[in-house]
Amino acid sequence: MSSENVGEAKNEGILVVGGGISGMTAAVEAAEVGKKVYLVEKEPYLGGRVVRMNQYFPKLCPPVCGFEINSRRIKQNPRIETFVSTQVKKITGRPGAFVVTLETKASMVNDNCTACGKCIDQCPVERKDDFNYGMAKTKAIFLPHAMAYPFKYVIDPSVCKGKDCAKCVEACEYDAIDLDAVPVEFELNVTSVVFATGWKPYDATRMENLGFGKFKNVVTNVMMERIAAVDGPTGGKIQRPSDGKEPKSIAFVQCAGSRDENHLAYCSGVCCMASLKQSTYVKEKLPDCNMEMFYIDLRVAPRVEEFSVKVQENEKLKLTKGKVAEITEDPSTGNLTVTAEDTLAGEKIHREVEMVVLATGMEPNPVVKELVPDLEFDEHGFVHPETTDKGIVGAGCAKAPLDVYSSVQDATAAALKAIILR
Amino acid sequence: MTALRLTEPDLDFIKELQKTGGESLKKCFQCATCSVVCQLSPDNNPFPRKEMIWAQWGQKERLVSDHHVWLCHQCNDCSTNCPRGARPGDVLAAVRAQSIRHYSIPGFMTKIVQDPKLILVALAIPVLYVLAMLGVDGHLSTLIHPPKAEVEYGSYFLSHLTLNIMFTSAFVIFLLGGLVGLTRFINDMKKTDPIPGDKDPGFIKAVIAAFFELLAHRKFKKCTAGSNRYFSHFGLFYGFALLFIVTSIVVLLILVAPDTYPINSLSNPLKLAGNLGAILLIGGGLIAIYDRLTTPDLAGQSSYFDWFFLLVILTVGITGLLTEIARFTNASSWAYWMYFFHIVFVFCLLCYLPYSKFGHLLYRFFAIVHSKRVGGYPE
Repeated sequence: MSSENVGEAKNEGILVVGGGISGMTAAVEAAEVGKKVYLVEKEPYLGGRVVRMNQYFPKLCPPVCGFEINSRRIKQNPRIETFVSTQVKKITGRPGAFVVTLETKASMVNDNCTACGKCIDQCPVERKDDFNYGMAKTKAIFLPHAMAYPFKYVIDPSVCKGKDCAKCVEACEYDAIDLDAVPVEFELNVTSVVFATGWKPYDATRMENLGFGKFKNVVTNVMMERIAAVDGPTGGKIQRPSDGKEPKSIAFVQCAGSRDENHLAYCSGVCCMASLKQSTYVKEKLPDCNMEMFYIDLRVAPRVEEFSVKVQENEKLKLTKGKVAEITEDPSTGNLTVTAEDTLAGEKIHREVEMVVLATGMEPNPVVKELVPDLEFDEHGFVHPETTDKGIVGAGCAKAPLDVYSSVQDATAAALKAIILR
Repeated sequence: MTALRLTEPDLDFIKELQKTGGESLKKCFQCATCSVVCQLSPDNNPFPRKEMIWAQWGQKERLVSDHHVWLCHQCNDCSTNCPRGARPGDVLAAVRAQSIRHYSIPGFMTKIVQDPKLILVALAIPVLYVLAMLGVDGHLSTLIHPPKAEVEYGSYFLSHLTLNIMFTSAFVIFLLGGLVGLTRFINDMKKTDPIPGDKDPGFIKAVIAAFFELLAHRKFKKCTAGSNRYFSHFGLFYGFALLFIVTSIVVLLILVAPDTYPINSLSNPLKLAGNLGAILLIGGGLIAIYDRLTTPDLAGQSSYFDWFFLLVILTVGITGLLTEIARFTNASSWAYWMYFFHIVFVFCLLCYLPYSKFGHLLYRFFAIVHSKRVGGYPE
């Protein structure tokens, strides 16, 4: 965790950019065969998008157990150095001898923190919890999430009142808070770089016809994961945002912005499966809730075909072929009417439901191209696979929209490529 | 469920659609965004999603007799929202051209009017015909040696008698070809989408309802993407209607009271109405051309079929106005030539009506009548 002997490494390390499931996998795989690895994450915690999921398919297990194993592998491996709240500023040099400049945000909470939580009682400021996609609030000093690694509090400098307030400093018994902390810039020498910069959900407010952001009970699929998660804003109860009511009917709207030239031109390949998976959450927690999934084509990976067929046997889940192109709200009830053409029947459907889940696609996290001149991207902003001979390897969702299983496979392959590059 | 039936794709029909404005039709992947965003599409049996797959599969018989393609006013709400750039609005426009080509007779006339390679033939026919009318009157020399006297078209150029007999008979003959096609179209529509017995308001009531809908231009107001179309069509429609009515009255007037013509006062109600019509027509035509050139994504990808009709009707308006100006300013050097071109383009407009885009006046109107009888459409 410390950065004291950084820079002394003699061009033997691998830099892994991104601490999500792909980056963590690439880091442990490379380190466990003897390579020095620097794992860099811009958020204050590891785990990326995956730790924000409720369960993943097809086994429907929560991500925390796999995450815990990977955290332990990282923690116990002396060859991995982890830098959270850190971003790459510049990469220079050549394959085999890169010089990387990084910056760690002002770390106002140090490693003395035991996560006792006394500071949050004193903190007077609240902020929107982005870990829960804004559906909950935290104090300005907060634990990123229940399983956070590293397990310590962080301060959001954009809302913290600083030294004028300093109530948390008084409350802390371990001398863990330093409101004067400044950002730290440092350099690393590495032989190769793994870009595991991951993805973000497509901005659903851009589909004006679907009403996200205007109608409270229209949520996205990633929000639905948090709603269903026991450590989420509703404690795992499936409740709609407007009034906390348990919905009696839910519409899943597939391809919300995907396969659409006006938005994301490609298919993310996981959203159909994700919605089918979410229907199992609803079935388990709200057995009487009627669900309808509107799709253009059900696109399910062959690997999970069996699971998909089983999920579709649910008599509470209706599958309708036709894309939802309009959602309206009844302001008095908060209920929504979704409109689609049932293309198999040749009739327009106006279905009133109590909640809508938009299956938004996966967009690559933006990488500032000037920082890494050698890196090539495809038309959608994903790292081009042909950049390997430039000493830089893409991994996981930085390269293409993938599920967790495929990301882990891809990250392992990326680790191998990074090892042999020198 | 209807029984399965094996259909043969008409590959030539697909290619023809692609050549005449529907080149994007194969991009459609049947998501049906179009059917939802279209404000004119009914809940029961919506369009244009089904028309897109019929077009992809070359189902000519279904498409040419499908009244839904005529309910589309090509506002392109569907095309702007289409996730694939398949442009359903433009495909339906291409289908409408094919429908006119399929039904109107004689077939060679639709070829002459709709094929850009035959534009010289299409123009030569009215030129020769007008020259023949001049020959009958013995006034061919007026074009070369215009008389110095005060400009008077009836005396020195085309006589009203020749115009009434020769022009009207040509128009009626071509119109009969169009009416035969229209009858076939109406019969096929009934086969494709039968009129249910219970809610049918009857032919007469449906015609009246369609007529008032047309007068109000109500359907155009529902469009958002190509909303200028309301103004351009309004101008062209009312401009043409006014001019057509005024001209018809004048023709009758000359028969009844020949001394009242020509009308030399600009404040005469007939002149006022005619000039207002010309302004509306030219204004509407210019807006339409401007939109098609500057915002083709909203106004529609324009084919030869569109341009021919639009330029002909605009030229009729402009040459008509110039002919009038020439008479009032006594510009004998070019007045007769202007009148000559005016009559040539009026021929292109009226006699080619059943074969050109102007045929939509017949086809669309009766498709709307059919929709009123089938029922279930958003008002």
